[in-house]
Amino acid sequence: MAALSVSDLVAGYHNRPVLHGVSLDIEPGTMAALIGPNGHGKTTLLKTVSGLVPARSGAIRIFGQAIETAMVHERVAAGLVHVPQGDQLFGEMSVEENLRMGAYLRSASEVPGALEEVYAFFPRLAERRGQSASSLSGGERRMVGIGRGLMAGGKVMMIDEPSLGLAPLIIEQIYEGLRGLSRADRAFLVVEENPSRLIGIADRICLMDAGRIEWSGTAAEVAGSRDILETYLGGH
Amino acid sequence: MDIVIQIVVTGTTLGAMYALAAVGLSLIFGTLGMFNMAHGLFMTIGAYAAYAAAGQLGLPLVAAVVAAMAAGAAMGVATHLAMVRFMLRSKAFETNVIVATAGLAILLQDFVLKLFGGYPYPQPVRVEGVVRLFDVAVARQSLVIVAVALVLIGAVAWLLLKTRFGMAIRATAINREAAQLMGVRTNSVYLQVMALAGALAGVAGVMISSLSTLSPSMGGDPLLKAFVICVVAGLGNAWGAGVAAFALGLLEAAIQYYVGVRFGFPVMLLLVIAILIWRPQGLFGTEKVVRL
Repeated sequence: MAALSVSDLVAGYHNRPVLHGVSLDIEPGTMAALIGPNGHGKTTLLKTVSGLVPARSGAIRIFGQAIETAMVHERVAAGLVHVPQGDQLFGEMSVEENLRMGAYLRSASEVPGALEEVYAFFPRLAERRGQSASSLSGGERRMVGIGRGLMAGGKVMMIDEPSLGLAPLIIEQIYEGLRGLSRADRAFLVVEENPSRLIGIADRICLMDAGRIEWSGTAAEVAGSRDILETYLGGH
Repeated sequence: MDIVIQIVVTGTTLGAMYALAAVGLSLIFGTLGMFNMAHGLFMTIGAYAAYAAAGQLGLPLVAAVVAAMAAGAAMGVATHLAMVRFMLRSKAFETNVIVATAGLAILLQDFVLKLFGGYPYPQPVRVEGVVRLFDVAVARQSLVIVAVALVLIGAVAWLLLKTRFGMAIRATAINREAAQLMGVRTNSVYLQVMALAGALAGVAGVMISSLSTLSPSMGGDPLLKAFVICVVAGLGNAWGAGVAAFALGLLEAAIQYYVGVRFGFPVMLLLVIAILIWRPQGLFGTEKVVRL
């Protein structure tokens, strides 16, 4: 059974449809990457899956459970985690309060263990735990955003552009980290602009264009397919 | 020296009443992004609820204060369920809701007038007597007002800072979408904030009427002052509102004594204008006002 299964999803804003029937399956224990030009629905897909944007038609399932009509908080309870674009941290709260908010739906007894895991993962955050989130650097903010998502202990984690605006060294650290988080009962969907970063990390790469998944395959297949690269990604 | 003590007592009492009103108003603004024009009527209805409970039903004073809180909370909940929640998603929410709550205030004021009449009843929920503080006679009721305000505001601060419930309120105020993604039911949070702020307003109404009298229009002046306090503190900043309330209460008492009673509010407003020219975001505000 797929960890996340999206079929024929149609959604958009007001009278402007952005997703024109997106279908996507992510198996447990794998990481899928969503690539493609800006403004073609990657972020909208994530927002529709998490419920911030209502779906007009189509189905969304998490480990078989249909969630397309559920409220946002019900989807979180079902195990879906969405780390949004631009971090969206709680700026006036401390790093630790942000992380605790990530575990909002978990029982209090699970929180200390989850915190320890995230701090072990991003030791930098342990040093900054009392600092307000708004005073952090871009890389640290991203760590809090991802760490806050990890705190939920979810089964499907979607991360919108973990590398956006970060220095290459930090991007490498973050992807290195994500690879380490891979577990048999968990799946990842990562949005990325630059597919070369995903080689050796993502199990599957899905190319999104004009509101549809145009192509999907392994990272090696992307690298081997000059057509795909040249048509959609300007020959990078 | 006696005069200074007298001013401090009067100013702290004023500040305590303003704080009860302003903290609730600020919580609503910070969380829902709305300026609640009906907040004054929440105070009025709280005051009349206490009057009815103690004066007409003969309940003990503490029960009457609880009745005021319940009435205020019920008003907050009803306002949200019957009106605000339908407007939240609209584009011009911030202006629409001002007009809507102002209309509600007029309606409620007429309702209170119809039910109780316009006679300026004294508030039975008060403590009589005087204590001597450094040779100055201080009304026990003043001390009660300050104590009640400090306890309630302390309780709200504890709630917001130390509990899961408070964390959800703060998270929703800072970033509604992100709070939703954490699993917070933001619609429930709005309802809870309206109830909490309504309860504080209900108590504020009891306290205010205990120093003057009841009247259907008694909420207008405190609403205006609470609004001024929220703006000075930085809209949506509940701590700032509490601090600014006491500061402006003391200032008003001092001006009333040294310059004249009728200059209290005008001088306060002048000062507010000066502060806002110097710091447009308010004394404790950050650059961006919390939006919805």
